Amino acid sequence: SVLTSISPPCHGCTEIPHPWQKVECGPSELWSTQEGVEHRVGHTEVVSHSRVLLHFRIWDVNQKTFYLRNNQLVAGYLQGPSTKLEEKLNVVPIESHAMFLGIHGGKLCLACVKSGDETRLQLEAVNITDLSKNKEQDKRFTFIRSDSGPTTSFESAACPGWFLCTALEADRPVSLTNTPEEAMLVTKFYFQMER
Amino acid sequence: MCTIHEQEADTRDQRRLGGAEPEITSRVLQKLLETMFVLYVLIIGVYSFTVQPEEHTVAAGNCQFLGKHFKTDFKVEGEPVVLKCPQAQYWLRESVSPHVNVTWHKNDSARTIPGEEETRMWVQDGALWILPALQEDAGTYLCTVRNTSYCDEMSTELRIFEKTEASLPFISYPQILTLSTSGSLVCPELSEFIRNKMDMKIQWYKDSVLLDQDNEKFLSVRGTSRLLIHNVSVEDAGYYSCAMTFAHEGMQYNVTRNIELRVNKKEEETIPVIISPHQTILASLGSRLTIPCKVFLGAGTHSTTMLWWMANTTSIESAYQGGRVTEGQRQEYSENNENYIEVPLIFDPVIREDLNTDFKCVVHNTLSTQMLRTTVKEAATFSWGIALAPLSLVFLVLVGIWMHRRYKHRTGKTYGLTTLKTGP
Repeated sequence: SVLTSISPPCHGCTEIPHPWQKVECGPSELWSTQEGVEHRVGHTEVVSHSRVLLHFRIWDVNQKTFYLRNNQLVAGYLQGPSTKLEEKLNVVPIESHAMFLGIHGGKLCLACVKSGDETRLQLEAVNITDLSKNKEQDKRFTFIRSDSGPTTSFESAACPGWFLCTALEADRPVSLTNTPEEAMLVTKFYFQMER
Repeated sequence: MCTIHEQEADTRDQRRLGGAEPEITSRVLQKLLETMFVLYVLIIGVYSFTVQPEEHTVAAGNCQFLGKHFKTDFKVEGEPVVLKCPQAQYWLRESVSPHVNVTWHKNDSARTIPGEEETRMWVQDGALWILPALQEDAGTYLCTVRNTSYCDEMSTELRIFEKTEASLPFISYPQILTLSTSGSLVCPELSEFIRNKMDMKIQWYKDSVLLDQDNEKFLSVRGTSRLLIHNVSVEDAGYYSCAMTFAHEGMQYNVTRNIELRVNKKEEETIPVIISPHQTILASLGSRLTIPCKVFLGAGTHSTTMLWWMANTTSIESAYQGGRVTEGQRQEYSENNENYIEVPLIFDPVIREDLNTDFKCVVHNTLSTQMLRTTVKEAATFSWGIALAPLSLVFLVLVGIWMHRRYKHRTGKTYGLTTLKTGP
């Protein structure tokens, strides 16, 4: 169920189509069982034996944090008491560098959706812990993390070449771009686990 | 559904009345008149609907209230303030509707602002400018966006603080940098005051002390609102402020923003390495067995690393619901500043079925997934050997003694003969 479309893509995103790439997969039988009990190990919430829900703080290199505005995920500067509006990322790691990303306690998930020539980031009202890496329809929720120094970028697994981005300007929607080097966009994020 | 049935009925009627032409003509005429009437009503309706809002431009009664904007503006007394119309930003920016009319009201007052004699306030591109802001300007502002067919309004709150240290927790923007890396602070929400990016001159202060431009530690990046901090240390945390001047009608105004820098140590993740168990584990059937899975993390954090056992492709819990085979307590520890995690697999007892099961130790974090297979081999065949070993040893010793005796006896004889031979 689609809650809201996050945004049109970042400037100039739709112009260059990117060839489909195969995503590297780990040992597939690892995730075949999802049953298991909920318990806590250290600071990590264990949803099942093969699932773990982590909580990360995300902000871009220009210090913009994420928050919801009219069911749209935007990045901007929050001040004093408004900082409680900040959305943290809920993360379910699925294999090497790949993960599902959600917000709002994992109730809304980030997805890359292609329709026609358009590729866009979409917030969908699904529970992050219900997603499965074996289901083709859940691939749109998968993001590949790549680290460079202290910062992290997120590429969509379903839309290869498309990266999570924010605009330079504050209070603009978080979206996806296939031109990550563009000066008006930010694709580098600080991504730190919450203790 | 109902309309479809009616139409079907009509067509049937028409077929039945195929020969009666005058009746059909009157029917068609009647239909035509009906359609014209419906069209007339529709046109009148649409007309009144579209015209109505224009006639009541000032009255807010028929305007949809969208609620209070979630973001409160916390500003400093004496500085310029720009209140953006929260719901109109998309309209104005994307020029979806170029003919929108934006009006502002304060604290439920019917009077629009700015008033006639107001010189400190004006509306520009839908935003309300207050220059300079005074304590009395604090309050709730209602922004109304209207065009010929639509109207909505939203309220936003403005709070004005004195320029004192006590105000800092309210007016500051928290920003975070990572220890021992380089990164930037950003002077936020200045866009309305910047006319030419290259002329932008921002001065940075830490705890009210101006940061020297020739400082190796801090660099105010030209043409941006960023302050680059090299090799962030714990001491760099604290309150910063950035300031620029804004000129309006011959007057210079300061625009300052306050930032609280927090310095975080990044939870480092490393690719985990499974260092034990071995590929095969020897065990005797019926006995208790513990196989520890030990993972080396180096400087990596324990907390994002998951470690578990599997039996073939199933988790231990679901494969052994009776609890004969279980996962033991997870242990997190450090040796010589290197982190390790250990989870044992406990068999109580080992049975023949375990010899044909593929046990896997799986470790996983956001960087990597590693897996190590291990199988249990029966040690019983070897225990036979162990049991036979002393027996065979005794046997060997006995044989040895016997052979030695025989040899001694023979050599004795030979010696005797030789002695006889060599004797005089």
